[in-house]
Amino acid sequence: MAKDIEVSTAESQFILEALKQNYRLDGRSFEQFRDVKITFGEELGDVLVELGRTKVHCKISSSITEPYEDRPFEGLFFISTESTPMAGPQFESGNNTGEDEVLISRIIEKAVRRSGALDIEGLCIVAGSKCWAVRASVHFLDCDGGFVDASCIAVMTALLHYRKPDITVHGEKIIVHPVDEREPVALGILHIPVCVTSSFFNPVDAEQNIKGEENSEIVLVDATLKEELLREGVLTVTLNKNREVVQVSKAGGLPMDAMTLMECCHRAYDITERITDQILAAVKEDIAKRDKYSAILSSENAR
Amino acid sequence: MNAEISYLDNVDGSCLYNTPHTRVVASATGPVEPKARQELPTQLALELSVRPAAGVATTREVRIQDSVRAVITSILAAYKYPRQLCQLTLQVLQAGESEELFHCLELAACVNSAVFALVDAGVALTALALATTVALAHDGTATAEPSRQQLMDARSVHTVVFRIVDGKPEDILSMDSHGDFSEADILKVLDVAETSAKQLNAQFRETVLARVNIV
Repeated sequence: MAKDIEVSTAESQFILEALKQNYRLDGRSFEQFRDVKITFGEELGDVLVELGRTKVHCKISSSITEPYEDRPFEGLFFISTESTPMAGPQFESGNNTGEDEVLISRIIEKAVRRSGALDIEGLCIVAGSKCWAVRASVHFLDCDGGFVDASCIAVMTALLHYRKPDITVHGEKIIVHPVDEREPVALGILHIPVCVTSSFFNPVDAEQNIKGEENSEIVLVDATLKEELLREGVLTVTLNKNREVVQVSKAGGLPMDAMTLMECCHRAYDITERITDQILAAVKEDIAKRDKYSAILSSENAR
Repeated sequence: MNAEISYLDNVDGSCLYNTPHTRVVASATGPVEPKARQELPTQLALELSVRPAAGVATTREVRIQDSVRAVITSILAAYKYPRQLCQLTLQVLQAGESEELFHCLELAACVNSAVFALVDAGVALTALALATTVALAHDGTATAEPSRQQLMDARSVHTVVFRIVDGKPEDILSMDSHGDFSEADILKVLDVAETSAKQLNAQFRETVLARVNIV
């Protein structure tokens, strides 16, 4: 981190005192996720996600390359997340080795790539010699907390929105059809993981938290930057609409008991369900806008 | 062209710059305290990075970065902020041209958005710099702000950066040309570019004025 952002003692006490009295600075309730705004660019797979004042841009690109030798039937999929001073003074350009940066990129990597959200076997063209390499470039534009949640939404929306050029295989030779010649094809998306981050605050002293019987921790969903700076623990749950838990990530911080974890997961599921629907609706609407002729050209009938 | 100034919250100045096909977000922070190795005893140091829309930055982005740096350094009133630093980050959201073949539209958008961001940040400048791209077709017609197809069909492509003093393009800060062209072509291109820069300047002033009036 180039320059740590500091919250003054007066402000931090104000925020914590307000939390104890059930108030958040932006007037949300503790379980409320900020409104997600999804905007598409001119090209396919170009998405800007706004989560409150947090802005994350994701762009998908693809190229044809050789698969890894030990995985001849799979294509390649990369997610690159790089933060620049654009997002805030706490990020340094060309240095993404800070604890926060590494954690953000690893959680996104786990949520999307390692959970198999993208069907990488479907990216194989000729086994062992040619495959698609799909790259998701995530750009952090503005930071007001919730980078993980926003990036995950951005990557998944962009993957759903992207279309790669159609190809024909003749033995070892392949023909890539330009977009105006043949309709480009969508990527195979197996499920849509959504990350929901909860932040923990301790209203009592540390001893009470460790030994005490009561669970008096304050749990906030989708913290803003200021809340993130003051929190004492963080939990990221990644779920999909099929009620599958993709990942639970809690790196240190305030201890919590099993019931709190369950509560967080249940709460996250409701949010996941809503966001998944929003992503699908947004993609569907934009794709329909782009191709005006599909309704006329389609041979689909009511049956 | 349209630009949304103060697009971001965490930096001193920012701008979302849109042309019909290219989109760039620029952010400027400064003057701030530099790291020891960046510090210049008598001047403002400039940290500039250009990030591509897809993938990681390559030599291509460094090339754009160097051109932008040359332009920006010549308009910054660097002597006003000794031992300080200005961070400029330019993120291309949409290239609007085939990235393997061209970089001219991005270069022009990067220069213009950087100037917008600096103005928004309130960093002292000695003049404005505005860039415009001109494509020269095989039949000799010059088009300012070419489309993707016009770029592909062009015989030569030029990005010209003017220094704007007292609302008029005064001299050329940088000219980046690719392809086949003669001296007469260059003069024609400069003519078209100047007209385009004047228009751009009018729009620029309008945008900045609208912003100042809100505050």
